[in-house]
Amino acid sequence: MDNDLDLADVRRVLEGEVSAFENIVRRWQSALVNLAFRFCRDPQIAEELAQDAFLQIYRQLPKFRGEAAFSTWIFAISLNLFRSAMRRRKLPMESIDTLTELAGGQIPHLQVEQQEREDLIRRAVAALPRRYRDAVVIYYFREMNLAETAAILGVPEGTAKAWLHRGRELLRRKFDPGAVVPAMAKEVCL
Amino acid sequence: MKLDDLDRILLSEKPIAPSPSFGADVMSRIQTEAVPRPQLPFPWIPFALSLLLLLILGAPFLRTDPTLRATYHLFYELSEWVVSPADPALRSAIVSAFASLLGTLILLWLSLRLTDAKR
Repeated sequence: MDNDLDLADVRRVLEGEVSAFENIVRRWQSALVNLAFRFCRDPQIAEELAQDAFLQIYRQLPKFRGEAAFSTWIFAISLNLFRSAMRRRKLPMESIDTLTELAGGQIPHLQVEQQEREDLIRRAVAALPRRYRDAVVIYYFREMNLAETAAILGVPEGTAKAWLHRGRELLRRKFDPGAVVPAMAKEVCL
Repeated sequence: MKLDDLDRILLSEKPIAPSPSFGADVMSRIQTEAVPRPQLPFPWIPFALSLLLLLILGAPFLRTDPTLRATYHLFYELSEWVVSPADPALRSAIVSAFASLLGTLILLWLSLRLTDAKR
């Protein structure tokens, strides 16, 4: 349904009716700002990146062939742009190890609130190695749709699955309280 | 943490709302982008003047600098070649020079085309 509306607006924009792009912006602004936020973890930078993404989408509109869903196409363009912006702006500022330390290492339940810890884990996703970060961000952003994640990343499903697995493993290893040596946990409790 | 917990945490991220002016800001940039800009003409006059100036200023060096003198001789030979039968070695040197010049012109043309395409 949304795809039909998008396609109709794309046609109108390509016929010269630039104002039709506003409908596309209205439908996708929230999604693109939130996707950008998951990469940079800063609301203001996320808005700037989303604006750049819309501009890029507008420029590339004549190249849209409709082979993939419009949503897949705009997320793929945005992903490329966000990746470059992250490199250019040298983001994220914090490493995954710093975040692990902030979360209390492997004994987090003793030191930080659950809510804060969950936030640190989300921030840690942005600090993952690039491929794993992209796969994890897109996968959860698109509510665990692996086929769409692979299409947005522009890789086969198997590759996306492998990156996702490694990314999750890395997060699990860094933040998993189950990995705590029992004796060590006991010592801290005392 | 079990894998399910990780899924739950990453799925339950609270969405942020774009600022009220976000859509207007984007459309303002789009409108600016949509306005066709006048094509920048190649600066032929400054180019010709600069070339002329370069030749005038460079003329004294043609007599002293051996490399430039060789270049001068090449051009001199070229003019000779144009009016008289050329020997094969000189002909091949000139063909190479023309091929380089043609390549430069093609690169210049492509650069202008690419600049246009980006607008």
